Amino acid sequence: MRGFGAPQAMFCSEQQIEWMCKDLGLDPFEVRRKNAHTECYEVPGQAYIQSCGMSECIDEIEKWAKSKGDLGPNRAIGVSSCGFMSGGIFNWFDSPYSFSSAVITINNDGTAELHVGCQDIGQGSNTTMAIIAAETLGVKVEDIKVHSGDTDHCPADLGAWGSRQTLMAGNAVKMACEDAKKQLLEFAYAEMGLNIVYDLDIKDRWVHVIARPERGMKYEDLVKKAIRAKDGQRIIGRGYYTPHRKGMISPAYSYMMQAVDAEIDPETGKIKIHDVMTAHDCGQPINPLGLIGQLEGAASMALGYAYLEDMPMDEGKLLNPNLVDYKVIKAPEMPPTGIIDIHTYEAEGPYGAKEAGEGLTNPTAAALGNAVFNAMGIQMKELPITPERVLKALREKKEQETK
Amino acid sequence: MSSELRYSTFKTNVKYSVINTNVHNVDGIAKVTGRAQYTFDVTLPGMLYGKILRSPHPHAKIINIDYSKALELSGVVAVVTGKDTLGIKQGIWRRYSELCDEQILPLEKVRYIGEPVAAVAAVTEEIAEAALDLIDVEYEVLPAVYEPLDAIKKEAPTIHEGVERNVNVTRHIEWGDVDDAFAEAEKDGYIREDWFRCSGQHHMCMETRAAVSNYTPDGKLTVWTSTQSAYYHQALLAGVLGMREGDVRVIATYVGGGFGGKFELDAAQFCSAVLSKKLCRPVKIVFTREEDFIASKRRTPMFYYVRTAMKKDGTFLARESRMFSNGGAYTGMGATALYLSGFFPLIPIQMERLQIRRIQGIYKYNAFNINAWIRRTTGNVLLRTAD
Amino acid sequence: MEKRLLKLSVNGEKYEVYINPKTLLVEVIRDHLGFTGTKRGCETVSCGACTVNIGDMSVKSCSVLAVQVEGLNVTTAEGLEKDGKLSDVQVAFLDQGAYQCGFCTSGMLMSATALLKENEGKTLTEHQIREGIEGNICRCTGYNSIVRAIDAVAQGKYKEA
Repeated sequence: MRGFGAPQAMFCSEQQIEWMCKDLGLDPFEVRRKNAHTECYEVPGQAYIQSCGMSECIDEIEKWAKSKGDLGPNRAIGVSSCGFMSGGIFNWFDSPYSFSSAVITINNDGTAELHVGCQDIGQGSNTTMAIIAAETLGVKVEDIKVHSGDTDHCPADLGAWGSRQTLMAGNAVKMACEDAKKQLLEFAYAEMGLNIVYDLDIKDRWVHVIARPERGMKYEDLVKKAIRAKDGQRIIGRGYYTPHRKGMISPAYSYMMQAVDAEIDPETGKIKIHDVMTAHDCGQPINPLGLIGQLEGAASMALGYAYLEDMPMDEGKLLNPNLVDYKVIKAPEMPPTGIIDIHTYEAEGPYGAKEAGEGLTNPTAAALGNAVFNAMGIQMKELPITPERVLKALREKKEQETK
Repeated sequence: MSSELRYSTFKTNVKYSVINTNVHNVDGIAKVTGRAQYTFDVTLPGMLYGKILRSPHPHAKIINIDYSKALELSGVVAVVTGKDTLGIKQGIWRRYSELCDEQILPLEKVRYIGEPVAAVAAVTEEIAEAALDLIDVEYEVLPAVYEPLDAIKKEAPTIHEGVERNVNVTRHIEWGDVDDAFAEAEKDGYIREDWFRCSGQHHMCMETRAAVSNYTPDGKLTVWTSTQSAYYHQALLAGVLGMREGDVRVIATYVGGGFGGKFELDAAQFCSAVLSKKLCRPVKIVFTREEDFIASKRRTPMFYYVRTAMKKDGTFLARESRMFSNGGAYTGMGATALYLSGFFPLIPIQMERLQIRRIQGIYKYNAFNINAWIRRTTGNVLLRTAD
Repeated sequence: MEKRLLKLSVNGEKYEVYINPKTLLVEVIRDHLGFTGTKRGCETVSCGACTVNIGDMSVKSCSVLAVQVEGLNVTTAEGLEKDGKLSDVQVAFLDQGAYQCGFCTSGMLMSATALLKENEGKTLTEHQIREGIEGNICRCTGYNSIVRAIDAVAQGKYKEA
């Protein structure tokens, strides 16, 4: 399930941090900032952190939370920080490490067929790969046709899990397109007869001298010449990525801090979420529309986990196996969401990119729990945070206070 | 408009042509015009419809399955049980055979309410559904256990033979001297310990689990399925069916959501493939929403203990965690989820010393078959979930 | 039950199907007529993936018998475009990225189309938009991009000058 065990863990850890801060009279932002991961930090024996925007995320959310001012009775903001793997390195199959591969074939008219093993399940990986391919090859997104999800035609790839596709499949696509571009530019160098210390590149379908961009030729013309010179063989580029020697979990980590503004009705225990703001470091965003979609979708799923969705069992029988009784967030319950993109550059990722989407499900339950704590002074140790549990905690708190 | 886009970004020096610009999703036109074909939509000439008979018991021996009456129903073409399979125990952890513990159509016993015991192929879905009522399964009901802390007791019934105390996986991660750190904190720091209970969650993808398998006389099996990894399914199916990998083609052009629930082999793929192989005809199995809830892997519920030591100025000193997770009937992804659950709180924060103890994934009889794993931290990394 | 002939109009075309009277509209649309854009995601009339328009009304086609639409015009997602030109709602969905896996999208588009038609010429608040798609579950997008898309159409951003 999205989060891979981490949403449960963050619910426990990040709430306890908040309670410890309260016990000692410390500022929760300051404590998190003090202990935050930084670039070049090593988690002993487990992970080596390269790009890390954790402190900036904390700064931005602190600013945002303080800007909201006094929210009134029974309402507060709760926060949770989080980091997530940007590509689980493990593989349970034929090789010790995870891997991705890609093949790009350039047609005579300059359009390209990109065959990838990564799987689009709605998260938009086909679009992300098309963007990376277009940028690398120097063409438009419309020139790239992505082929995925067919073992007869696509190269092997472990698929969509462990937040791996942007980084791993993205790197494979980038490598494949660099290979294809290099083959094309070999013809361009010969064709253009350049002197010393000149480099060529392709951008926006224009093959040009980097230092003198006005000197060049059309990409389509170069492709035709290259294919003709190769007796009709298409230009084919191959790419592959595997994260050897990158620790025990992941070659890179995304970071974020999320704030949930929630109001609790002390009579019914019901929760109304007013706002969700996330400061998020996913390195270089590749597809901003996709990133926003991932944030909003993750928030709806994670909020559902935090206070709506439950799977009660009775002697092994699931009591709510239908969409009437299994409650998920619907449009009227979905709060506004915002994202502050903290820009870092991850050397391991394609164009500096890291994951976005799974990590975003992790902090929400904790942030909501902390909002409830800050608003009502009750500690929620059980998920989901149902009205019954809120009322029970409020009763117990009252009894404790009258003693 | 409260859902107005609030997206601010810090500028970078690099100007990209395409990266970080707003582009339409490359699959957009197909999706907004209703043309995208999901497994749910696939129909083939001569296709049969499959339905799965599921166990009503959380733990029982399968004594006998009599499907003779079902075969007599007009329109029913075939019924298969575990006896029609190679009986191979499979799982995602292929490198560790002891964690491959699931026969999707079990031969000897069932371990959760909803576990498949037989599959029917018929000319319509209604007939296949009606045929399920005509299959007689004789069970010997066994005692069941539902809570991880009960499953670990000595007197608890054994769910998987050879797995002591139903502990599926034990993991331990440790660095630094944690006891020393806690002793230091007891003198002039602060220690807090808490127990939590986290619930499960279902992926609830809009497209339920589905597969259309088509085995043809040339020995090729083509499977359209809603999956997160066509490659894994190709390898897993080839393995359990005893086929050459290249003879298994998995197609997943459009998938209606995954969220982690669709990269392990499920009954829709397996049963449709077994039926199709037997009949040399396409067979389609689509889970109902109820089946999808009952009989698929999901987020692990767990008990989570955290003890943290901090200096009075807020510097973290040490953390000790223990997790007991409710693994359900089979390993699945449990071992990995367990490890990540113990470790990920340490991604945003630096912790000098750490001990993740008692990570234990405990098998339980349940309707869900996620494997929860429990970790145990004291330096023994037992990859088996029996702890 | 004896089968009977049903004449219905779907996406502007007339069809005749020979069905058992207890057949649901969604089954006729998908299995008999092959318009698989309309999906099914539940058995409890909960998810909205099967939403179509009957006239200008949005209806969950799993809650309606096919025989009930005799003489009425049914529109599915495939019927929104005209002569290869996408409708305003479809373009708005593309611009806002108001879909991810796409399984709920057909139903969502039909609810949006009916909502906009019903409120043509009136102001549509965000609250009304959210209530208008309350019957459609989306597991991927978190709804806000869908609300933005519908709002953009309601504000006239896609009207031709």
